[in-house]
Amino acid sequence: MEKDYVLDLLHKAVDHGHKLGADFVEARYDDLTLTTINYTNEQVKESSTKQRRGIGIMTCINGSPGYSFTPILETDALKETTKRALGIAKSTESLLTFKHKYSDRPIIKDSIEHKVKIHPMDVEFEEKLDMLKRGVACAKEQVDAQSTIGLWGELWGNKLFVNSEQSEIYWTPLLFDMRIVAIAMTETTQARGSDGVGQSQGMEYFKLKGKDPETIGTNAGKYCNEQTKAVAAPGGKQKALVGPRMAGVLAHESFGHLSESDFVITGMSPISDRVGEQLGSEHATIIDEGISEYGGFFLPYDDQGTKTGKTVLMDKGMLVGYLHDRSTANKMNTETTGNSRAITFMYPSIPRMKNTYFKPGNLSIEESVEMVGDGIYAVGTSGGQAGLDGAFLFKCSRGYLIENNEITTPIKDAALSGQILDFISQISGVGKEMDLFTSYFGGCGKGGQYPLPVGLGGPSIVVDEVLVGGE
Amino acid sequence: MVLEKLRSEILEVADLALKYAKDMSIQTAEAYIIKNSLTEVKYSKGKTECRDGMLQGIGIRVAEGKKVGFATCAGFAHDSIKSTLANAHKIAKNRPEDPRFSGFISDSKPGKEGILDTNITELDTETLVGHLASLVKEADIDDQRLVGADIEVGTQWGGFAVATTEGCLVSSLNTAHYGTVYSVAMGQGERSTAFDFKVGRTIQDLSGLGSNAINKAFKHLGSKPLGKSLKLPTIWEPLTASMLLSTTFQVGLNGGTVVEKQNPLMHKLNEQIATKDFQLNDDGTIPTKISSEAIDAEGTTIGKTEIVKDGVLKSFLFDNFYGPIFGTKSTGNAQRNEPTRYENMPAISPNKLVLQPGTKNKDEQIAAYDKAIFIEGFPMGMGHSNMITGDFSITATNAYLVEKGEIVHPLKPVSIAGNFFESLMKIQHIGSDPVDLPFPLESSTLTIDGHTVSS
Repeated sequence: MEKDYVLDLLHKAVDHGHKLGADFVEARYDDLTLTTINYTNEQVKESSTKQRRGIGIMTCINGSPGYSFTPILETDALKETTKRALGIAKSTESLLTFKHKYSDRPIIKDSIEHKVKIHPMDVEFEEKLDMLKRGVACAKEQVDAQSTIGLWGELWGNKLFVNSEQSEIYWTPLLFDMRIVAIAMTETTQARGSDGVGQSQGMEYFKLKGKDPETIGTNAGKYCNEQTKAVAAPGGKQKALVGPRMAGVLAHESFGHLSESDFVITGMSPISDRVGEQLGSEHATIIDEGISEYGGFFLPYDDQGTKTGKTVLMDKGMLVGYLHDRSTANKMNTETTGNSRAITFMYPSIPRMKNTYFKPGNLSIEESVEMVGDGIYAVGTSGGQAGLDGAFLFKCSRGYLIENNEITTPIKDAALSGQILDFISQISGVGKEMDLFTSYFGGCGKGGQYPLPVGLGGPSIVVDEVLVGGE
Repeated sequence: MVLEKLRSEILEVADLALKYAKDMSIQTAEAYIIKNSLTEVKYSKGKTECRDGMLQGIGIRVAEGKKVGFATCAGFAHDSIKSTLANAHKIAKNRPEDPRFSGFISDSKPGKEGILDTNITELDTETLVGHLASLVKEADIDDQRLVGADIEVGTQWGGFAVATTEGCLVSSLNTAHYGTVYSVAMGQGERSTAFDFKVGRTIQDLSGLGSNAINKAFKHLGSKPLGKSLKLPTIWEPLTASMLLSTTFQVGLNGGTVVEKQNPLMHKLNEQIATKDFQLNDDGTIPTKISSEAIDAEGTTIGKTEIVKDGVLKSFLFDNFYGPIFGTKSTGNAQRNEPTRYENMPAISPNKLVLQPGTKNKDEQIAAYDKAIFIEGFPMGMGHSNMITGDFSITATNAYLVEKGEIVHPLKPVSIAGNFFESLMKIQHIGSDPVDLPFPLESSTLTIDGHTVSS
């Protein structure tokens, strides 16, 4: 679709909104292509491409927001969509006490193309399938796998944004995600091992040391093999070394969500009205940013046309900020942080994270293990969950015992749980090696919008006490 | 009228897609068309968020011999349909063949369509906002323990159609109305959360939802730690039991993962997997259930399948791809994942698993134990369990200690560890109190022995 044609449509929608009486209008266009390859048991189970193209309109009247969307890229459809958005905005006006209002902002005209050496769209299907085949072959060298899965996912395209301020923003999202999974039988059950990489980068990334398909596959097979011999994790309170991926999930699911300003401004978050308080240990610094030197997801603008930056949420244990959209920032008399995001054009943007991570420290892995002495090393994760009461639970899908200052026996799946503020106050050391990643298979879920690409990760962190649900 | 007009439209689009396929010399294709009206309004302490729009899109599979390509697009624009067909065709031509592919379905007679409520299609946004306002009023109580309540109401109505070059052209319609309330309470520095909801194919009476969610959160204030790790019977209220069993059977009944040798129950067909009083059927024909459809996502007629009889596993669930590989037919269990559906390939999932009720209700089960744990609400971590091994370790934030046949006090979050599949053989009671829930499986209160509980 021609960029100028779409820009014209978006401006028409904004103008039409004003004609109908809207105080403020935002119009967003997504044109995304998503490609999936699922290579299960050495057969191509899925090879697909999805065209996600459409326009979403947010209108605001007397501080009441309403949203509608359409995949039909024609003027009449856009007018009807704008009318529908305004209609529902008017309907809820009587319930509103929190006015959706923005502080003034100058016009932004920007165009950002995320340039990479080898764009995934320029690489043929056969080459991507070959990467999966090579990964699976390496996995099978490590373990007598009864089943293997190779996954490839990529997302790229264009986003355009226009609003009542006459801002015009264009940028190009991009991410890939490659994963290898191996499953083997044990005497009593099955074991699973997996590894993968997800980044907003070009295919040249796979030439980096340790990021090639062979290493990913070898790791998956090796981890699976380890799981065939794993012992149950010791239950109860443990000292733990939490690996970068697990630390990232913790930073995101627990602290990140609690920092989202819609939860904060309504008082639903347990960290509402607590800026300036020491909530964590001096080793805990948590950051959320749009474009990170460590990698992750490339996000130059949010879905309200705000340029993303670096937001420090916790600085050496002290709560210093929240994740804002324009309306919550205005209400709380602060600057917006570029955190208003929507999963697709079919949804309104809401406060969401960008790339969230613990700031690295200076410990080597050996020093971190020594700090734990005896406990567990939680490395891989299959995700987790957190509530607005601060409770969290995260699954450790790959882990090891730490005994006498050494990483020893692999442990079976275990759950780490507790209260996030207790957890953060128990951090006694932070590693220096960073791993920030994004994903196509999975992502962030909130308010029915799943999966939103985000970045998460961190260094390894040492925790003096966490509840481990094992045997 | 509106719904039948929508049916005609999606059938026409499906037919049109096949005509274009013929024009493009595509021999074998399947088109999945969906159009759904979505209206939702959310409220949280004076802040609103609303969405009102029409989801519409197409998912097309093209087969070139035994090579299948899948492509999708949003909307029904003719150019988009043609380019989607071309994309799917290109993928099919480029990929290696899958010798197991046996074609798309050739004919289908739609089964029972669930109840369609035209009141939902006619509901204007003002009335829907009125439903929200009633719940907002209910949650507006003068009690300092209440931190707040997030409230949402909404409607969905529409349908989907499936057409294949083999001669299938069928559709299914649905309507739904729902309300949810998530509440947060606080007392003496301690937070507690609770959730309640109602969903159905007809206009629901949502009154009481706000009070229930708030009272549940209040009830859990003043929780105490369990103290030490114990192996205790766990009593699961119907909602929580349904979550546990849904997770278990959504994975364990998948015939696709049986074929791919990834299913923990793959060697258990015709073997005892649960206690003898455990009877389970998959029934996608119950007219009141929001999951009931006339056809599945490949166009196969939806019916009823016996799953577990007297504790013995009698069948897995299949779609039209994996059924023939296993040596059987599709059981009508192909579904496409939310929220867009058309963007996803069919995947095997239960229509509605119904567990035959037992004899004791929740209170009678609690009364039967000297010491046990009663679990309510939505435990954390269920969906992140290791479904290959079946091992789970979840955190229940709404759990209570049972002593001498009575609930004595709420517990601080407890970790419950066990194994999904081993739990089926350790069921001590199946309740007499099933609840209508929008989950893949509907259970009544369950008591299971042998879980490790720690605080």
